[in-house]
Order: sequence, then C-alpha cells, then structure tokens
Amino acid sequence: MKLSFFLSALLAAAAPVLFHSAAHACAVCLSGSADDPLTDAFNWSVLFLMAMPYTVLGSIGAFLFYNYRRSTKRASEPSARTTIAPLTWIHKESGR
Amino acid sequence: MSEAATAHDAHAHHVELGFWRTYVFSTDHKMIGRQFLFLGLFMLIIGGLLAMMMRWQLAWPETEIPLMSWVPEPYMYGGILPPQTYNAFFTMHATIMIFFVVMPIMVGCFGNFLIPLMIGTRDMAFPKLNLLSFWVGAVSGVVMLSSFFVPGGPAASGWTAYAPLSAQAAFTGVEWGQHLWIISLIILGISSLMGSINYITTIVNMRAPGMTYFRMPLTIWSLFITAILLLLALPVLTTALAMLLFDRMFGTSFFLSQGGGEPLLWQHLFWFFGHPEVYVLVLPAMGVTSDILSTFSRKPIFGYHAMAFSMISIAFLSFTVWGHHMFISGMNPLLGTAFMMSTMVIAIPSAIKTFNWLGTLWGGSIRFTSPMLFALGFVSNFLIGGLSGIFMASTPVDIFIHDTYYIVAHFHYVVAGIIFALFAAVYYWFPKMFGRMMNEPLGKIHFVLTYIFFNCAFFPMHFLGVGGHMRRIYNPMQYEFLQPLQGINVFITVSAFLLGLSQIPFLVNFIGSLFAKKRAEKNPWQANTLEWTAASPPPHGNFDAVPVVYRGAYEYSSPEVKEDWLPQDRQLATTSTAARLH
Amino acid sequence: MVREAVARRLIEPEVAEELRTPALGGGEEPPTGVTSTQPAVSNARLALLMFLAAEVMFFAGLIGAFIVFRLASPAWPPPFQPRLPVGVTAINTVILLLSGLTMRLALMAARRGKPTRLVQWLSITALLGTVFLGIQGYEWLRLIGFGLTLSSGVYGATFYTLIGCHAVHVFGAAVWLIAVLLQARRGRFSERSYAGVQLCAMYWTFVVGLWPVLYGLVYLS
Repeated sequence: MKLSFFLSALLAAAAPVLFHSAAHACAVCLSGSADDPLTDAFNWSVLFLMAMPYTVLGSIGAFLFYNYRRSTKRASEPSARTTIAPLTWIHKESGR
Repeated sequence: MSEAATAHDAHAHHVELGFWRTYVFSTDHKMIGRQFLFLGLFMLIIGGLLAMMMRWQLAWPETEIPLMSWVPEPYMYGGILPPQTYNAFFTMHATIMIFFVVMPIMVGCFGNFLIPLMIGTRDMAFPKLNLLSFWVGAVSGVVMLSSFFVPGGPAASGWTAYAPLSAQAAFTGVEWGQHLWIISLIILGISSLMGSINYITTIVNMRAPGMTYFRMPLTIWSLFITAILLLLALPVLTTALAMLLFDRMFGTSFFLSQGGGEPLLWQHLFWFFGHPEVYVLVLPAMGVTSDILSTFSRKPIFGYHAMAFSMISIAFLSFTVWGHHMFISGMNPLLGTAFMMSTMVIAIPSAIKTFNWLGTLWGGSIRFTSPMLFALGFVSNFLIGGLSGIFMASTPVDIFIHDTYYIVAHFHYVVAGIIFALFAAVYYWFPKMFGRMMNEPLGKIHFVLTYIFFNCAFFPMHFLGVGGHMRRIYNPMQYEFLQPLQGINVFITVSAFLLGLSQIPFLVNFIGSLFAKKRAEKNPWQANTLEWTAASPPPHGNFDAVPVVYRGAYEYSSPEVKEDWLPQDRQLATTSTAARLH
Repeated sequence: MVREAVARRLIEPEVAEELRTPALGGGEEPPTGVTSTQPAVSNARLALLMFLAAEVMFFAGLIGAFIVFRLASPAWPPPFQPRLPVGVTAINTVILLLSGLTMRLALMAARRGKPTRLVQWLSITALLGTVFLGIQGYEWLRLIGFGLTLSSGVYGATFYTLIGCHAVHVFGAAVWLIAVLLQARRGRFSERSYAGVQLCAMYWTFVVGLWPVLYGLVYLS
C-alpha cells in the first residue's frame, strides 16, 4: 500500500520529464516548435554559450595547475633542498 | 609581492600624501573601499526615493505626490507622475539598486576593503588599477545620473532593456536616456573587469604565509567566486550592450525583426549575464553573513568546507540556468525542461548554506548585536526569497506568475534582502573602516523597524501577484479585477514609506559615529580574522609585520585557549597538532 | 636575509615540516614572515590571463549571436549580398599565423638573452601584423564598395562587428607590440627580465589564436 503510493508519487513527479512534449503547458511557445530553424539555432547558441565558461575556466585551471606543478617540482629539486636539510639537521642536533 | 612588501615596509609609517592623493585619487585599498561605500550609499538614497514615488503612484494613482510639484512639465504634471516618467523611474530604480548600490557596496567596497586585510597583505596586487576601477565606476555613475537631465528623460525600457522596446527610440520615446544607460553600463563593465582581475590576482598570489585556500574566511571565498563570475559574465553583457547601441546609433538590426534581426537574442545574451549577476549580488552577502553569524554565535561555522563548496557549485550552476528567465518568451520545450531542472538543482547548495547557518546558530552563545540581527534578517529574507524562487523555476507555475507582482516580491526578498547583509557588514566593519563604533541602540531600532516594514512592504506583493497584478503596471485601478486588491497596494505603499523613514536612524547613526570622539578598539567583536589584528582603522600598509597564519578563521570557543576566540595569527606553543588539523 | 629568517623559524618543528612540504602559490609558503617565494604565475601574467578570459567571453557573446543568425537563416549569405573574399583572407590568415610563430621565436630569443634576435623577430611580427591589418582594411573598403554595410541586414552587421572587434584587438596588440619593440631596441630586456615581452606575446597569441576560429565561422561556414 505504502510502496504503491510512493511509486505513483514518483511517477507523477517524473511525468513532466518523461513526457515533456505533452506536459509543456505553454500558452505562448510560438517559436518553440522543434522543426523551426530558429529553435534549432537558439539551441546551438545556448549550448555554445553554456559550454564557454567551463571551457575558459577549465583551460585556465589546467594552465595554473601545470605551472604550480612545475614550480613545486623546481622547489623540491636537490639544489633547493640542500639549504633546508642541513638546517633541519642542525636543529635536531641542538637537542631542544 | 616581495619587492612591493619591502618597499612598503620602508615607507609604511612615514607616508605624507596630500589631500588629493589621500582622499580622492588614493591607491590605498581601504580608501577606495570607503569611496565605493559612499558612492553606494548616495545611490541608495536616490534609488530609494525613486521607489517611494512609484509606490505613491501605485497606491493613489494619478494624484499629486507631496513635495514634488516643482518638477518641470514633461516629467511630472504638478507633482502627478505620467506613465512615461513612471517607466523611467522603475528602470532607473532597478538599475541604480543593482549596479550602483549592491555591486559597489558588496563587491566594490567590501571587496576592496576586506580582501587585503583578511588575507593578510599590504594592498591589492594592482593599486593603480584599483584607483582606476573606482574612478571609472564613478564616471559610469555620473553618466547614469546625467540621463535624468537629457531631453526625453532617462531610459524607460526596464532594467532588462528588452529588445525591441529598447532597440528603437520610437518605442519608448527615449533617445539619449537609453544611449546613456547603455554607455554607462559598458563603462561600469570595464570598472568591474578591472576590479575582478585585481581581486582574483590578489587572492591567488598574495595571501599571507600560512593562509591556505581552506583557511580563508568565507567572505574571501565568496568574493573570490564573485570575481570569477563577474569576469566571465559581464563581458557578455558588454557584447549585448554594444550590439544594442549599434542598433540604436548605427542602423544595424541585431534585435529588430524588420531588418532580419532577432529580439529574443537580446534576452538570450542579457540573461546569460543576468543570472550569474544574481549570484554576484548574493554571494558576497552570503559570505559576510557566514562570518558574522559565526562570530556572534561564538561557534565555528558549521561545515566550513560545505559552505565553500556550495558557493563553488552555485557559481558553477549559475551559467546553466539563465533560460528560466525566458520560459514565457518562447523556447524549445526540451530546453525549457533542462533549464527548469538545473534551476531546481541550484536550490540544493542554497539549502546547504541555509542549514549550515542554522547549524552555526544551534547551541551557540549568541550575542544579539546589530550586525548579528541584520545577518539573521538576511538569512530569513533569503529563505523566503529562495523558496518563492522555486515556484518560478517550475515552468507550469511560472506561466501564471510570470511578470506579476509575485516575481517583484521574489526578487525584492532576495536583492533587497541583500541590503540586510549590507547593513550587517557596515555595522560589523564600521569600527575597522572608520575607527569608531556605531551606536548599538540606534542600530537595534534601525533593525527592528527595517525588518518589520520590509516584510510588510514586500510580503503582500505575493498576494497581489497571485491575484494577477502585473509587474511594471502604471495604474492598477484601470483594471476591474485589480480594484479589490487596491487595499493591499495602499498597505504596501504605507509600509514602504515607513521602511524609507526607518533608514533615518541609520543615517543619523552612520554620520554621527563618523565624528564620534570615542575610538574603537582593535578587535571590538573579539573575532578571529586577520583584519582585527590591524589597528582601527589600519594605517597605510595595514599590518606592522605581515601576519603568519596558523589556523582557519572560525576557531571560536576553542578548548585550547581560555578566551572564546583564537585569532588566525596567534601562535600556540602546545597546539601545533590542532593547528595542522585545519 | 631569507636564509637567516628560515634558520630562525626552523626552531619550530612544525615549521620545518611545513618547509619540506611543497609551496603552492602565495598562500602555502614557508611561514618566514619576512618575504615570500615567487608565486608560480606572476601577478601580471595572472592578471593578463584573467583579462584574456574576459575577452574570450566577450567574443563568445558575439559568436553566440552569430550562431543564432547563421543557423536560423535559410541561405547564407542572404540573397543580393556580396560574397566575402575567402581566398585573400585565407592568405591573410596564413600571414597572421606566421606572425604568431615569429612572436614565439621572439619570446625564445628574449628567454635566451639575445637582444638583436629579439628586435629582429619583434620587427617581423609587427610587420606581419600590420600587413594583416592593411589587407583587412583594403578588403573592407572593397566590401563597402559592393554595398555591404552595417545597416545591410544581420549579414553585414555580424560580419563587421565580429571581424571589426578582432581588428580592433589586432590593432591594440600591434600598438603594444611596437611599444615593446621600442623598449627592446633600447635594451630593456635581458635573460632575467623579459616579462614585458612575455605578456605581449601572450596577448598576441590570443589575438592570433582567435582569428582562425572567426575565419572558419564567418568566411567558411
């Protein structure tokens, strides 16, 4: 009883997604018909614009990540290490 | 940074700049922040007065507005507001409130003032760019205000400037007003671009030693994300505005169907900017609220990482939802469904934030100071505004409430709700900005009056909207079905006037406290973040020595120390492990 | 001075631990409190990168508008509108791409500290950029002569705004390039400090890299 109620509620909730063409109770969707080239044009434009921020952020993120990795590597090279290691060793020797 | 820092060290305490370099063309981030604050507060008064006149017209249509009979003929007729001027007023009210009040204060003022102080550096990465950013923004404000004085009056096509209404002077009868509106916003875009580049560079490169990304206060997180949103969204508005200007001035027809153009394209580009813009407005308010709630609950913020990541995901999703502003404009139903889903998904991070705020309050030893009260006011208003937003996200419901007062209620709960966070921030950081405390009793009176009349003014708008009261309508009395609702309109108008009057305690408090004799202490709220380790107000160069950060910003009521706060830069001998946990 | 500070700080064991963990930008440097290590990407480069992000979004807006007009119209170019000079512009594209290459060579010369090479490559880049602008301007004049103007429908309008915005950027980049060239002739740059060349090269690369996209969209589609 409870399960069937739950399932039917779920179905009702999912209905607008599954049957969107039937459910689009849109009174003024004049330019919304699928075979209109303008609709298609807007769809592509929406997709393009939607993808752009992520493309830009992704490339900048990748660039920064690459640079940070490189500078990290440079910092951990032996030449950079040598100054720190003896100092640390001295500290241990000092027995504090 | 190293060179700049050492250069500053040498000069930090012996800088004697003239009046112009100190107060007008200053490169000091704190002075630029104060300049943005005064610009924003001045514009807030203008925007508020415009709203008052509109409210009078809606409650008592076509009657004489008191004290306004001096306005010359084409704009007002003996104090009576004609439809043309009404259109101009709601356009300018929204434009001023969004672009010249909330953005300059939340992003411009607190961004500039807080970022270097809170991340522990001496100034922004590019102080001169910062100076330029303010003055370009001020020029933009002057251009916007000057449109009140050109023939035909200011822009009258709504702040959204939907084409073709905005694309041809004949439609609104406004020639130069709309030109200036477009030009002003393009200039403002340049100002914001400079600001956001500066913010991002400063936050990424100039944090104090030990200030990792996940030790930054949430205010800084929010401003960081806001800057990224501005950076990516505003250029598209500039594109659209440039195209609109071309349509109006050079005879192109991007948005005019008689020349083969497409009016819907304007909405498409405008809302691509417009929706991230909503989060540009609200994210700093959220960040500020998080800091204030934590400080005055004397508890660590609940779910710091969740707060940061929910802001990131809000920003991430904000570029996928702009179509929900265009459900009624005509759209492929499949696309509409996708936009509806993504819009509803954005409710999840917003809900995470709200629940984490409640979690922060839970069991805290709350101090009801004015900033705390206003922050709580923001949370409650944001909750109402967020919930009414979900109704509009759903296409079938949106068809009925679109372009009604329901949506007016919704965005005022969010955007005018941001004003609560704005006041909270002003009360909270006033001691740091001006070196004096604001008066607490006056602040509380201000809060109580503002909170009551805010809700009286905006909540009944939901009922009007469901009753079919159109947005931007000049005279509701001309429709028979709206006449029974007129009582609500009168109630809203009276509340709005009282809301306006409730700001007098704030003005008195603000100006009076500026000249108060008693100086504020370094850390009057006993808060943890780095700005409270600097003097009040901080000198040129902010810190005596650049602080070293050992922990996150929210170590309140820590068992490690006997006080209930633990500043980020205090080094504890025995608690190295506690520090590392963050 | 830095080493002294490091030595002083190393008394704290956890600080020594932090020193061994890799530095990540401004924030996670060893807490010396005196000075910072250089961030991985300098302020100026990061700022320019952000500016370029904004530029990309600006052009994305224009391209988004172009997509709507292009896909919605049954015939492109619309009837009674002149064809665009695809061939000449293809040559022009090659010229601009070559200038991108010479700019990289100039940057490499700067990196290796070869001032005469630097000046040579910068001059060639500036020349190629100017030639590109010249050919573009000439073609524009011809198109206007054929009756393609801003007000002749969305075809002309999108063409002139997209290509015009790019041309303005090339012009700005060329002015910058010439300023850098003058500095280079006065011997401003060395192996150790060539940030001016680097920034200009970044911007030039953006302007060059944007063009093939616009060429493909506006001329070829």
